[in-house]
Amino acid sequence: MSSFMSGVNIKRICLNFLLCFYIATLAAWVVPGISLGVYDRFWQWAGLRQKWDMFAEIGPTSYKASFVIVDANGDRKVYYPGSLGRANQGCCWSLRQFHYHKFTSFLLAGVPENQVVDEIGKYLASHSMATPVKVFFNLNRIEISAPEERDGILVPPEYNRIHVLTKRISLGSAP
Amino acid sequence: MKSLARRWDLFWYEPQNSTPLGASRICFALMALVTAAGFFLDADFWFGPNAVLNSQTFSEMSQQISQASGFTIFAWLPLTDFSVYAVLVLWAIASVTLAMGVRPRISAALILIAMVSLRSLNPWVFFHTDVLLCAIIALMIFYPKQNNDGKTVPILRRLLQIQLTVIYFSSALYKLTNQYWRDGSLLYYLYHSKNLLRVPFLFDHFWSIRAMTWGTIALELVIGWLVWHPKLRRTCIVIGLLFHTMLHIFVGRSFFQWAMIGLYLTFIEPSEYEAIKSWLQAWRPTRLHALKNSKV
Repeated sequence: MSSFMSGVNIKRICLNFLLCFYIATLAAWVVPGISLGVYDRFWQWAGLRQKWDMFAEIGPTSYKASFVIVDANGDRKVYYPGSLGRANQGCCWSLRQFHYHKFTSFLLAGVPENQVVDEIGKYLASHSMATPVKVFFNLNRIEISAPEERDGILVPPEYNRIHVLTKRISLGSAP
Repeated sequence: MKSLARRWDLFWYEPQNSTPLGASRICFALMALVTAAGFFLDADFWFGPNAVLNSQTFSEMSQQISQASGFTIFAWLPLTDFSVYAVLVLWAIASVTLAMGVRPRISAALILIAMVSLRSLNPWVFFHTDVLLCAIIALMIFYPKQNNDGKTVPILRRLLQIQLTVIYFSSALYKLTNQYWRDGSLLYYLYHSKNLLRVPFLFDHFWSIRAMTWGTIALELVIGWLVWHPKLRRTCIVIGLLFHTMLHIFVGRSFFQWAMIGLYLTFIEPSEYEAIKSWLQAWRPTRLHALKNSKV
């Protein structure tokens, strides 16, 4: 009994318990749509919640967005989310582009209610031109036609571009 | 039952050569360093007080989406450009010390604090690679100490190996929730909606697109499990490395592929590392000699 309850054994039992607990958590996260409620929120708080849904939401529809900034002279600059005019070159550019892409997917998730669009428009206006007067946000939906073969070879797809919205962003409180 | 307990003990606690874990540690530390460098270049845009989204918007959006992580060192630090850059410099220095194996536990803890703190300022730029890096670095906090004979308890190595299996299997299950993955057409849409590398023939036929789409799911469903089998391990490692190298070339230069390769490093046995080392040592002088001769 004394040897069983020695310090080493207790440490090992605790460690085994923690390992089982961690693996059970990982196993639960494996399955799509599983939420562990409060327990999940703890992992969220710690910044360690995992979700492996890469390429799981791709389909025939995609969105293209752009910000158009016009200054007092009528000059225009166009920024496309995905890079926002940055990270096209230089150190770590491919890694940085993933950050911009991730941010873009978040940006497009809640359009047009998304106030983030306004914030980004104001930021780009104030950082790109001395006297910006107008900022527009354009959103288009691109639909790719279904695969079609002729003589065993895939026909190039048709791209159906649908204008979703153009939103004028107020520059009233530009940063 | 005793046999099961014995196997459990051997799996988690039998001391092993620490080379595979060390290789993986160096790989993830270097990834952490490059990630810090990437964020450093855009820190003013993403995180500072004058960032693209102001802090009020962040907090409102976080509450709506409940996506932000809660812990942040900026609860105690003032949010200024200087403090953001200081946290990133700390992250970079800790990455270097982790790569060198200097105080790996403290280094990993510092990187994790920096990553999680910055993530709480803007969770919407952290993509899958950053999530994986966070998870791995968090595990590195429990980096084992070496015994006198240079061996360590393999708990961390096992957890990294399990992580690889979890990622593959979970990714395959998520893909199966998408109808275009199930009907085999997804790579057609992916290819035509993103700027993927043009490969003639592969994307010219629907059967080849279907084969690649379903093949990807099949591979992800099984490879994470089969790599545990002693007889299939090497084959799975080679297939896995080829798979991620191809994804890196064709789908986009994602760091995620390097992270997966970093996890594969834990499946390579110490004797194989020795073999690779001797092969490199034998190869280098021969190559150098050949180069010198060619110059002469």
